[in-house]
Amino acid sequence: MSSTHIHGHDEHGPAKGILRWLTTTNHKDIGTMYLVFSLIMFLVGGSMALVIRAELFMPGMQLVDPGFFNTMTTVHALIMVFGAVMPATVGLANWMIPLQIGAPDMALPRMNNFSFWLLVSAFSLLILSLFMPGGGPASGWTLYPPLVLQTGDAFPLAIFAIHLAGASSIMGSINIIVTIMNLRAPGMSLLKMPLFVWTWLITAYLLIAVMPVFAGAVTMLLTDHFFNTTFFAASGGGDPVLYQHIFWFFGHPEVYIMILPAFGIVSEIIPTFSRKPLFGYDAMVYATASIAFLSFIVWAHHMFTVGMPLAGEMFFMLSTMLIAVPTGVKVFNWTATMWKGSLSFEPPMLFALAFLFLFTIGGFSGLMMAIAPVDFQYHDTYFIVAHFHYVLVPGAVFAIMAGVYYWMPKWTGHLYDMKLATLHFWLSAIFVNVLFFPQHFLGLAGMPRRIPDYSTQFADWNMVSSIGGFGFGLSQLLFVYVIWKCTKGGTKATAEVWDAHPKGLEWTVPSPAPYHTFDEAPVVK
Amino acid sequence: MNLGPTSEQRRRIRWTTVVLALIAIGIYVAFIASSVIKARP
Repeated sequence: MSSTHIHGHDEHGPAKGILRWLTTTNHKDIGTMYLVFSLIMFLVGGSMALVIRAELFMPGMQLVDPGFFNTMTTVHALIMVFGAVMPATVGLANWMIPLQIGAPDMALPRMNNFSFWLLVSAFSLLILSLFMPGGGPASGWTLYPPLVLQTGDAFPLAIFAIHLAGASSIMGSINIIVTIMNLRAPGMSLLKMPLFVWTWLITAYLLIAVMPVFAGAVTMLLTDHFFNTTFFAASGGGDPVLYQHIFWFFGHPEVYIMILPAFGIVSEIIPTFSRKPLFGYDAMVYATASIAFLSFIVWAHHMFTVGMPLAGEMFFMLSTMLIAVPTGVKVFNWTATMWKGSLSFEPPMLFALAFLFLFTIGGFSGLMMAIAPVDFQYHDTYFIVAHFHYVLVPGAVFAIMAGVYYWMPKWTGHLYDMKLATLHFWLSAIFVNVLFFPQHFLGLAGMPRRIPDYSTQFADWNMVSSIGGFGFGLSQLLFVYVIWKCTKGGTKATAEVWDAHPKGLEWTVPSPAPYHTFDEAPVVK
Repeated sequence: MNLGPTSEQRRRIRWTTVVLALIAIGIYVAFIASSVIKARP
């Protein structure tokens, strides 16, 4: 680099107006955009969930026709998985990974900007597909053929949207891996990295391994639909079950793509508010890697009822149960971190604790359905819906909220309204259980999932669940208000923010974090 | 003063990026190719 190019960044801040957001390559700006985008998608996907719960409030057809109901279940899931949870963790990664490893920015800042705007394009297309002749995609988020091939004009739009979102995810993952592997501060060896960085490193490898598989599957759907191939049509020598294998080879690791960063967030918060170092740091890293590895060899537990040899059922049953071991290590270590700690219960800690209890409930119900003969009873019932919502809502979403409440003062420079945030926690924690716990009963009693109408015997718990759904949905408006209020002002936050003296490089920079940080790389001892 | 990544870091960043991108494209092509073989009547 010639000396004429050497200049400090202190003299220039962000560009002004809309151009700042369109052209920014700053990791903090891009992190903010990801987080705002995911919040918008969370509200859009949540509104679709409320359409579902409103229709299911009582037996009979009330509000929407069955086709639109199916579209709502499909697009709700696609938006929540690919538009809300994943971008939220990517937003947190963009904001926090460079700060936590002492890097001035992400390694590939232009690609970072491109990844984000590609995601916006993807979800604009997906939402526009709702207005196409024949309605939006309505085959469930798994897009199983041959049903998905009956989708109307929305089909190519939805497939293209998935390709774009996948490309965005892969680029984001490459960026994260390259940043972590090459831009760590001097002295920060891999086993000195914060757990959030570790979990994201492993998640990024998972994404690169499985996103192309999903892209391949939907490309083949596209050619089956438009170019007369028969990958998934038995009439031409193909096999619809092949799609299910390919989809779940992607789909199961996808669950861990959503939950591993959540583990990382919780692993940051619990030590801070326990005022103790994380118990068993090395074990947490190895447990994360073990979970990621095991996630590749369990996919067919989603397909026990499709039919497979007994040896296959045994293998997938036992490998699935094996995941309980590293997950148990994690739950044990979080609990051990709190043991004899000096606990305090600020909003991030409340959400992290709720995560610990409620995610574990989701984990236990997962163990139940890992048992192949038992899964024959549970398959495609509301028990499954209850299980994965426990994993994803009080699991992944609560951890994301915990992360936002933990790091928001670092981003805005203001402490947020702790009373309102605590109220948001309690309303969310109560209503999320009112919403999802009764769905276990409905599933065990035999209520199938993805139906707009049901037998009257399921009426009471559906009504309770819908009340919980509306309560949970409305509670999130409080979350939006707390964030908005915090961006507008409030008590100034110190560099450390929390009285608990959190550890890590992100707490050594002022609050709000300057537009450019770590102009000189910090040295980690 | 932020000088950005060193030339050695830039080289490693480029190298890692290309390898990871090739892995992703390779997996995409491999899965479609294996399905082509399986779906052949």
